[in-house]
Amino acid sequence: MAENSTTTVRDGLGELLPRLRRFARTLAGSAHDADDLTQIALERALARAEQWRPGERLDSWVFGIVRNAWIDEQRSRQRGRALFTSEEDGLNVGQSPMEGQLIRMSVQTAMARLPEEQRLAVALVLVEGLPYKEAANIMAVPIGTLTSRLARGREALQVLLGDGEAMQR
Amino acid sequence: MKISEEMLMAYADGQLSGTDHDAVEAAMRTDPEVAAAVARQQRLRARLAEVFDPVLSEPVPDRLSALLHAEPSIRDDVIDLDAARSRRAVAPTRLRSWQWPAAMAASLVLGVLLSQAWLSRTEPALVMGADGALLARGELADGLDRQLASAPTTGSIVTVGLSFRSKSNGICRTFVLHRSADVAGLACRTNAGWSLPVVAAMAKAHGDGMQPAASDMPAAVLAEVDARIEGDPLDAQTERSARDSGWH
Repeated sequence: MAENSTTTVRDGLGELLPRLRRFARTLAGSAHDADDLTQIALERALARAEQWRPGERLDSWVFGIVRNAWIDEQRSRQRGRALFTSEEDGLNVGQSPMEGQLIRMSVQTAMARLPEEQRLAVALVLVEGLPYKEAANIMAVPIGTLTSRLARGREALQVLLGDGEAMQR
Repeated sequence: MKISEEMLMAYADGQLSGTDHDAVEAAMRTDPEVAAAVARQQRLRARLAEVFDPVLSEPVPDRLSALLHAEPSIRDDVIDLDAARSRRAVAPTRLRSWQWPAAMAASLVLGVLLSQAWLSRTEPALVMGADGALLARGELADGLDRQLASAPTTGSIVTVGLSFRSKSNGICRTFVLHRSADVAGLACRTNAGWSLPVVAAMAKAHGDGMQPAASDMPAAVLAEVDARIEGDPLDAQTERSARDSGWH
């Protein structure tokens, strides 16, 4: 049984890899940090594959592991001992005059300015398209808490991106 | 029906069904403000998708896809005895008699291979216990007994990264044993002494005797900490009193 579930998890993780990288990118911002985060999460998920229960959504399970790894990393950053370097992408900011690049920068900068919990809510629901119930489970909060974080994160992003409510009227 | 902001968002997120869903759509047809508010939510989704969806079609870096092809426990130079044991435990708990010899042989071979390769090559401070668990001996056991994560002794051969209480209510500690190649691992207190669920060779990072952060630990060790920790790591005072009472 354990052997089978490990194989199932490993195959499932392979299919989820592109989404895991996208989710990590919404949290970590730079591609390099995001892939470090993805790597840590994959290693943890494989080490604990037998904890995944068939019937439980594998994406939610592993997103939860990504979230926890990210929180651990935030804590260790706060202790002043960063595991990741963030120079690589930081140096490239604004180098390309292409429009696509500009849009990317402004959305990413706006995301980076959100409080962590709002950014998670936005990433899980608006980017990953998860139902509220799954997103709330991953964040280990009630649905009401999730939706209020989501509403605040949305509003803040819209203001930062120049699509605030005030501009509508 | 008055459409609340909350309902608008739930609609935009595809979370409404039945009458609520229909009510929002009816309001969108008659109230331009509702229609504009929904459109505004859709614009935000579209901008996020424009930025983050291209990640989905990027080639996946080799270091990530390689993880999913490798055998987890014998990968690199990580020795994860728990993983090895859990693979052996795949066999049903009540074995038919004819299955015994093969199962026993498999477990012996695995134990000998891991321990002898490791012990003969590098490390006299690690020994295989009677039940197949790896145990700390000598300098490592001394270091684990005495060193505090909160007050590291300079020049000691053992540094402790963090101490915590595990879900099974014992004390566990991450450590680095400073040798020619550093060895990092997790030690958990048992009746037999310090049992080592995971040990990994580590790239030499600092060389200045700096206390390693928990985040400097190899991922296999971190994963083991993650799976075992109950609550937060011990603070300085709790760690000291745990030591003074023999780590119980």
